[in-house]
Amino acid sequence: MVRKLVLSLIAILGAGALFVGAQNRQVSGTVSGPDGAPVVGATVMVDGTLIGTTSGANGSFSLSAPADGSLTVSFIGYESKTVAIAGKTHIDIALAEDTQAIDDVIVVAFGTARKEAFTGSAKMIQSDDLIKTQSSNVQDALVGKVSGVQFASESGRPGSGQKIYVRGYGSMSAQNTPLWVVDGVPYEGDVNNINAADIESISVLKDAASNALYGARGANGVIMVTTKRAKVGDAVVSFDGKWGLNTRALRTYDIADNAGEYYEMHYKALYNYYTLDQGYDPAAANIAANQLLTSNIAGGLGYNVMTVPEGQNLIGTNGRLNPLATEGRLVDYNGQQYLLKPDNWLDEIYKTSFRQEYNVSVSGATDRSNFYASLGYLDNTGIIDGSSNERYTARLRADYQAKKWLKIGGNMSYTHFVWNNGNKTNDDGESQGEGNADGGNAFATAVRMAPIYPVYMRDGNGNIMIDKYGMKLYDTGDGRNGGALRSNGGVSNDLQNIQLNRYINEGNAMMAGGFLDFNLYKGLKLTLNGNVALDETRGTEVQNPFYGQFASSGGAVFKSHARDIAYNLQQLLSYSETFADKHNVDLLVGHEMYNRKQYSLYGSKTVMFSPDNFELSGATVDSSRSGSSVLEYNNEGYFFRAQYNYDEKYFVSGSYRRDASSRFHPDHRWGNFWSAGAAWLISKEGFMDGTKGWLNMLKLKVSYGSQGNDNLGTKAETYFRYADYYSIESDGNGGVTSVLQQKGNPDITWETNSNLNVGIEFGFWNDRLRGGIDFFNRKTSDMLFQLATPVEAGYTSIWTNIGDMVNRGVEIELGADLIRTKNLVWDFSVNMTHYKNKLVKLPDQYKNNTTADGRHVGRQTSSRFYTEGESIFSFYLPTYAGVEEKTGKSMWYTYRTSEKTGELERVTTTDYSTASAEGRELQGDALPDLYGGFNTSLRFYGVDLSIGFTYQIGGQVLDQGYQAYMASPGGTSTGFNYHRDLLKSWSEDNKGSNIPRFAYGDPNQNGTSSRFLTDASFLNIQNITLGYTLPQRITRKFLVEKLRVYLACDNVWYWSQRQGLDPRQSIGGISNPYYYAPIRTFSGGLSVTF
Amino acid sequence: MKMNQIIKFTAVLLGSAVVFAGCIEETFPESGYATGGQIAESPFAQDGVLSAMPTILITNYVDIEEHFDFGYPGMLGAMDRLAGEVFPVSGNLPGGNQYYDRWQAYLYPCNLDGLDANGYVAPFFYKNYYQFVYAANEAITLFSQNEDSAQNLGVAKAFRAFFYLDMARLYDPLPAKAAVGSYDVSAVAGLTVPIAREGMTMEELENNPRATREEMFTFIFEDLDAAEKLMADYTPATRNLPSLAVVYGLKARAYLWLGGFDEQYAAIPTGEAAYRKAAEYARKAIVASGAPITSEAQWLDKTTGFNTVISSWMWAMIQSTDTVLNNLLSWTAHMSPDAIWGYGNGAQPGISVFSYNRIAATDFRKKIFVGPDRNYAAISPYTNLTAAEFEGEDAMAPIAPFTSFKFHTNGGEKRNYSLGNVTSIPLMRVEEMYLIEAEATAHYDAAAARPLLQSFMATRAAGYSIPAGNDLVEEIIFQKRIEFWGEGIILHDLKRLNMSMQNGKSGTNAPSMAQISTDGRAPWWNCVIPLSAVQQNKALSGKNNPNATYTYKSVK
Repeated sequence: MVRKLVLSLIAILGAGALFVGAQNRQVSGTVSGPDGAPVVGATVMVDGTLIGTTSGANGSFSLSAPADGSLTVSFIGYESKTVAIAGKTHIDIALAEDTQAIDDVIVVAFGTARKEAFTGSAKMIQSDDLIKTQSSNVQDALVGKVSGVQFASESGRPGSGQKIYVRGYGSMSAQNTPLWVVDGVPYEGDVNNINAADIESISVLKDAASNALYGARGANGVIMVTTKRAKVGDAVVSFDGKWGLNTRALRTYDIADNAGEYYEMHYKALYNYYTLDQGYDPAAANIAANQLLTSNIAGGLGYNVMTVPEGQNLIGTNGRLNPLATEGRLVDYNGQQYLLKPDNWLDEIYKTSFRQEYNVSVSGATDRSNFYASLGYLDNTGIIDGSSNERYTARLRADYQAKKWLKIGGNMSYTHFVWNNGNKTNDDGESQGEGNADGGNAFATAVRMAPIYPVYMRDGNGNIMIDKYGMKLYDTGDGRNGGALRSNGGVSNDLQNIQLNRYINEGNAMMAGGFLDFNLYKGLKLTLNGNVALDETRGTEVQNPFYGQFASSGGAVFKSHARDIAYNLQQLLSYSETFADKHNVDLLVGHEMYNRKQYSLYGSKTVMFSPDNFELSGATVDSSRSGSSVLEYNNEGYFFRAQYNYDEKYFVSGSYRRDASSRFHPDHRWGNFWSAGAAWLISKEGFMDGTKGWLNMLKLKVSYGSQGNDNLGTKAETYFRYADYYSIESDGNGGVTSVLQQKGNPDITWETNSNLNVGIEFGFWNDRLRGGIDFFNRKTSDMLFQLATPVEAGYTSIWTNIGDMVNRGVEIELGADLIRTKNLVWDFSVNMTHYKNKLVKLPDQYKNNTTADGRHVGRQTSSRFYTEGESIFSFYLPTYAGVEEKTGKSMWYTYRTSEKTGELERVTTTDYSTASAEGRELQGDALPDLYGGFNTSLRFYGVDLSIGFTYQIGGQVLDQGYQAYMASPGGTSTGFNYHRDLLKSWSEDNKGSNIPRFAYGDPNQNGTSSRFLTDASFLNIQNITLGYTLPQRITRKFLVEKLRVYLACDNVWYWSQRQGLDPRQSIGGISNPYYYAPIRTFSGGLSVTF
Repeated sequence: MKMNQIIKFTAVLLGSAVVFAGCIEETFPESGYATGGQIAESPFAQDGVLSAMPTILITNYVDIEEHFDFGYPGMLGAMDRLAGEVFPVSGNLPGGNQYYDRWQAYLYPCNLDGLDANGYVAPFFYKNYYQFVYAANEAITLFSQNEDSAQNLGVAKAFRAFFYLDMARLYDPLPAKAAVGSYDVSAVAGLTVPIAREGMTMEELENNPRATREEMFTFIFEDLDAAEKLMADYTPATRNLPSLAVVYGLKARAYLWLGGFDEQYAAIPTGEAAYRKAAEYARKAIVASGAPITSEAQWLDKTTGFNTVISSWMWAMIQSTDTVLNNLLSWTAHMSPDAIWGYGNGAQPGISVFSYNRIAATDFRKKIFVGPDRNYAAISPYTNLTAAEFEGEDAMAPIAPFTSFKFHTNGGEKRNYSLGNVTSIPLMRVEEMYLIEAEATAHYDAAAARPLLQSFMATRAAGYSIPAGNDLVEEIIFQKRIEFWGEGIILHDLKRLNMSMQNGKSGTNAPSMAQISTDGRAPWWNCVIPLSAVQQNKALSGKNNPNATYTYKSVK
């Protein structure tokens, strides 16, 4: 506004002054953008004069100018344009969008860098891409967008987010999570509390030159979030609303899906047991298997939900279901009628749910001040009962150039959140809840349950029965339902548990920050930043008083409160100057400190007054488990950075940072980190003049440096790995004692990551084709290593700094504007990464074991073998050798010493425990050969369409879901669903099968082996967005600048090597179907700008 | 630079220097934990190190992610299941579920590979014992520095001997037969476990071979002899610390074990010589403890039975509300069918029908087992369950025949786990000494042994007489099995005497996957050192006991 006034004033004055000059005439016209929409506030200047004006409400302008002069029109975000007046009195000027203006700046540590001057490797993602994703978690929006970055999501639970690995695993024992920095401040809160709609951009910094100033904690990459500021111009009010549906995106394995089919399969297992194991003839086996099939005797299923004519068997001698069998069976039990009828457990647990989100923001700026405010509301219901997320967000960001030498600013955000998790999560790693095959995890129950078991109890008429509390009666498999006894899942029904139990986290997260910028002297600036982040979370777990584990205790309430407060102070002194027009110097010294305190308070009670009263005071018996604690973390660093370029052609940069962390002993807490980088803009060289027609940019860059990692974990003990750590206990006699929990090592210090990055960047045909290639070598040395100690020491590990590991690879990013015309724009971008992980050095204590083939020394840890020269993601499993043709049993390879030669020879065995103990071999790597994403977008008049894909080629995944479905039943462990591949298993008339015999009581036929390693390749449609922007000539009538309606779908579909397998769960190659399934969201929305 | 700019600059620099000064400070835990430094400075340092030993027994957690992972009580439960003495009987009635018994790897060694060297529960014993040993070694180090701590030093040595004695018995690979495949221990015969003493360096520990039986018992007796001297005038403040009588009791256990061997060792008696020592020390323990034998009333009390320290308990684990880990990580939650909140009510740990049938009708110890007819009236004096609860109301399973009501919840509490789980658990009862004395004597003087058993049994079964034709030692062991059912000590006796498991016999009430009969001792009674330990101690390479799982097949 001020700028407009000033310019208008200048224009009027100028016009007045020049009026005397007589040759001037009045020129008027309009300024419009590439889409024909008027551009408001554009500056129109008469060349060579001070005469100028700004375009008005409908893009129109009028000024006095010489008839032979020319006008230059400029506006932020558009390319400036000069037009000759040539005697005309009316001139319409169309501005082209300046695509480079936004793309050319990268947010880096403590400031920004121009892309061409940048010597490191980073990727910037703009808000347009971020808001496409309909997730509360902005991490989801990054998936597939950045080369060199891998994402994994175990659970689809709203809010569970992504695990992010920048250039592979940096550490074996310490954390691998990147550092999040929000508006320049380290952020350790929940990423879900940041509203994606408030984000202007996200930079992912990958190499040393980019990360070094976060040296201390930047070893695993830095993700920099920059929230929105207003753009100069008229105030903008925008509203965005979207409404959508969530559905289950996980595909189901090819499993038995009806009772008849399942009975046939289980019958086959029993029949094979009787014929193969017990020597029955087929007729006798048919009778015996039919008798056992639905009985309560070990091997039986306990439920018969089929009706067959009196005296007939359920399964005929041909192994097929009696054609007269019908689903559902009426039974009389204890004087009451029950209808036993199977339910589809997956259909019962997963449902379609509703999602809505609204965001409003107001922003405006003048040349001295900038103001942005927003409000957001999200209501996202999960795809299982009891799972939902409600979030309110607010943000206010403003700055003001108070004096020529002083600029002040503030940035505040507030989030209120309520998370209902539905099922027990497994965040604390207590091997209960999500991800576990049992232990009260409804997902596992639904995935594994045979399709013969009812979820509900039904009366004789088939109606679901109601209990004395007015709730649906669930079948708990304990005999109440017509006397039937389920042979799996305990006497409980986890689907009922998710209805009745509660897992709630609710709270408030606030961030408040301010800065002061002092312009001290030409180019010399002092910045003081201060920031506080406060996160208060109240946790409630309710175990219902009606059914299950806590029913006998009258229900239980567990309460916790966590207060997490962090503050960050920064003092930055920077100097930037150009000498002799060619020497550009940029210097920065700074100091930063970060302190975080986590307070917690908890207690629990049993015997609840009412199932709806979730408070401790509403329960009566104290569980004697209350407590409180404080956990503190300190980090402090001093740093220096110098950047220099000559004529914007040759660039060098260097930085140094010295950091201390309270996670280490005072004697070992300081670490030194540094980086150096250089770039050469070849395309600016004189000798490249000849290529200007097609090559507009070519840059070579190299950087090297080191960063640290002190992140040993999030649990309290991980903050004291340097000290002997004891738990304080009662001695049982009124006194206090302490018991060792962890042996400390005072010598541990920073883990160091050395990063080499060599890359080229290029742009052809005015950037119609652009991209870059980076080679990286990321070496972790002095790895923070949880070194297993001799068990006899009395503790199992100490932390050390031993071991080196390398992640080496290449990243390619390409972008192309396939079509770029006024009304049709089509672009395409792709990124791909290939890298390998290698253990370079292991501690000597890890060389006491030798692989079964005698080739490698190292250490086995469950299904891996750590050995120098191999990937940490190599599987170490028995190698499946197919089926023994005669017996139908699984075979594996094992090693034994040959009696003839005295050397190890590889032989087959049908004994899994032998193969497991003596025959394991290094299988392939879980890491893919290539992974990445590709995106395309199309704009045609007002219609826009974009599609984002992610993909992975190669790598191996242990398909645990398939393994579970392929298991033979044994003991009383029956009633789990079967994969249809079992129909192709070995039998007398199918001896060539590669699938072992399917017989009850065969232990370990399906032991974990290479048989269940599957190609981990996948292709995934991450997002599709289709939008339509109404022509402004229509919307203007309603005072609307822009109105866009759109449809979007997230997590659309994926293809993997086996239906049901989801290799996206972990980069280590383990798939686990017992998690909350990923969610597909389909929604429509509306965004309006005033 | 203009003057005012210089002033501004200086002012700002000075201002920021104040913030610069906020230098990093060391942090300390303010929670349920403390660092070694904090503990050394605390006023409880000395006492704390002493009481750490009994405390770690009941609070240790070795992270095998199973609900029986609650220290030594969990190990006692595992040992009884390995022996086949305790198993869940609930599966014998509709609605019952054998899998409520969480010690599955120990119950079903023929069907699960959890006990293999790389099995998930293999570290349970091994890790626990060496963590206990660590606490004892720390105490020995501290108390050796101060003459005033001589008695405490004795206590620490007694604890350490107790831990090694258990390990020596569990890991010594004695010959056993396999029905499936082969099982051969000859390559590692006579090897126990590595000895970790106070003050050993990491280098020593990283190459620390399994001690021979002789070395191990020499070491154990060094500790016990020292304890005997140091504790001559010592009376423990609470029964969770050993007394001199307990040291005698430990010696009796050690000599009894050695009695089973024929090998001759220079410093360590075996065979009859050892049995004689065992009898001698058992008697010493009886005298020194002055403990009366548990009475019928004490045994059968449904409020305090086997959950409260009584005078016959020479040594015990004593829990407080703070040391109970949670609703399920607790002895009572697993072992008492009165604990409706726990696994005990669901699994119903019970006795073998064959043992039950052999108990004399007049033996009061028989009363705490549910009879084959499931007569509630007969069991109701010994259970806190109501008739409806006994029959399985509200989704509970009905109580099956042969369920044991030996262990009770604190105060007979059925629903409030925070109260009910706070119980004490016996470590050594005087009755064991009587039976050791009788058995040890029987090995060399049957005539002298008979009255010993006879007089002990007089306190148990009116009119008891040693059944004619029964092997005397076998009869004593049978009475020990009944006396100590569920207390986790019988495995060592069965292993020593090469006795067979018989749960696979026709008419068994064992759960389907635990119906196992062996020919002599079971291979899985020779515990396997976990792979995690083998890999970190060079001297263990190639020196582990053979894997024993799948060496038999359960009948069903």
